[in-house]
Amino acid sequence: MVSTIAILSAAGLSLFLVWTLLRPGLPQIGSLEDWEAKRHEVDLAVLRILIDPGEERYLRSLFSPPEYRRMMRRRLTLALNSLDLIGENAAMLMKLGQLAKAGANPALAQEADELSHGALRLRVNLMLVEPYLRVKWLFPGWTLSVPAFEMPYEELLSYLNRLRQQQRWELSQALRAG
Amino acid sequence: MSLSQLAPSVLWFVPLVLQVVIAVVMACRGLIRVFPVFFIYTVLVASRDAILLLFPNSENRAYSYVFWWGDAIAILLSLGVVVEILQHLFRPYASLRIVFAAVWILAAIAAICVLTVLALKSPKGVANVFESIILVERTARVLQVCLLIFLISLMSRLGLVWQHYSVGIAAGFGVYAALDLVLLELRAHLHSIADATFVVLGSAAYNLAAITWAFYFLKPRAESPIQSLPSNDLAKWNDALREQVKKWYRR
Repeated sequence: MVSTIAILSAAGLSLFLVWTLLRPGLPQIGSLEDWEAKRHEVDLAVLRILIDPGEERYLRSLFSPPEYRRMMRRRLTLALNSLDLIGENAAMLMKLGQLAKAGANPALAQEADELSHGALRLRVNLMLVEPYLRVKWLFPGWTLSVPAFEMPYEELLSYLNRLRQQQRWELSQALRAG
Repeated sequence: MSLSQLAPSVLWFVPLVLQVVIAVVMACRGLIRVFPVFFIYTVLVASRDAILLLFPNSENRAYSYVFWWGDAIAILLSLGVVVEILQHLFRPYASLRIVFAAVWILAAIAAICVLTVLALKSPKGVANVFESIILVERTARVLQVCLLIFLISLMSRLGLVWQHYSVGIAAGFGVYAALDLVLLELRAHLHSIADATFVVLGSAAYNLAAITWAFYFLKPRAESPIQSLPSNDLAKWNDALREQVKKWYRR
């Protein structure tokens, strides 16, 4: 009976995961115009405050335990929503990296590789941070610190800027050449 | 011809035709080098089904050999396809390969533990060869489903859902392996469905997988490479982030 339950659970989980894989979760993106239209604005200052341990300590001293727990859950829900948006941005940038790589420009392809790599690293970090915040949502009194995840995101954005600068340089060279 | 007679024939022919078309499309698009194991799997299953059509009845001994040996090889290849997709997905990310290799080994150990428990819990002294084969197939499917759960979780969590063909292959196998596993459990362990129903539902599950693969392989790809990059406010975003990182490390 135990093995039957385990097998049916594994099969159910597999079907659920296929559904999550196939459902249109991420925005369709086929060009940079799509990226401009569909990327999410994330206020990182707000996010940083939401998961700041100092802010947590301050709130703990200010509110009663039930109020503190309620307040923390609201803050963590907002933080998780922001992380979802950052994750979607990273996934869209990975797609842009793929599209850039499909072109004939080898320099651009190399930059696209770096962009994809940076986006993947960010997603790996999100995989570590999100479960932590979800556990924290369940147990708001837990006092472990959040791992730093901003660095890969910063690198990711700088990759994109370098990619853009490369394109601009090539465009200006082409214009000069007539 | 009644519906009950027609349904098995349709369920037999649809994946056969679809897989021949998928193999041709893969050859035309140069995808054989990208997914060689999946290509071999596709060709093998389609060939086996075509050969089986030549036999006048399924009582034939040769029919059984072709069917069951083909099935065993197909299961081994389908396990290979999962590994192939994983390698394909993470090939560009050299620095992450060690991490994923470690997770992969852990997943394999977990799957082997599950298989051992299943082997110990399986009913002893099975009635006939058919039952034994079904139990072995069930064990292999458990391994496949474990690997697919790991693979699809990684694809979803890491945002690798843009990998067009990999998603299609993984989704097709995910559906088929899960449904087949449920059927094998119902048939071999719980004995709650008849052989004829088991065969028809198994074919229906495989049809779903073949349709999923066909959708991904036959759908035209209208994407064009990026030619220029627009202006955006990412620099501001970048500055804000740098500031936060500095604060974080100071603290």
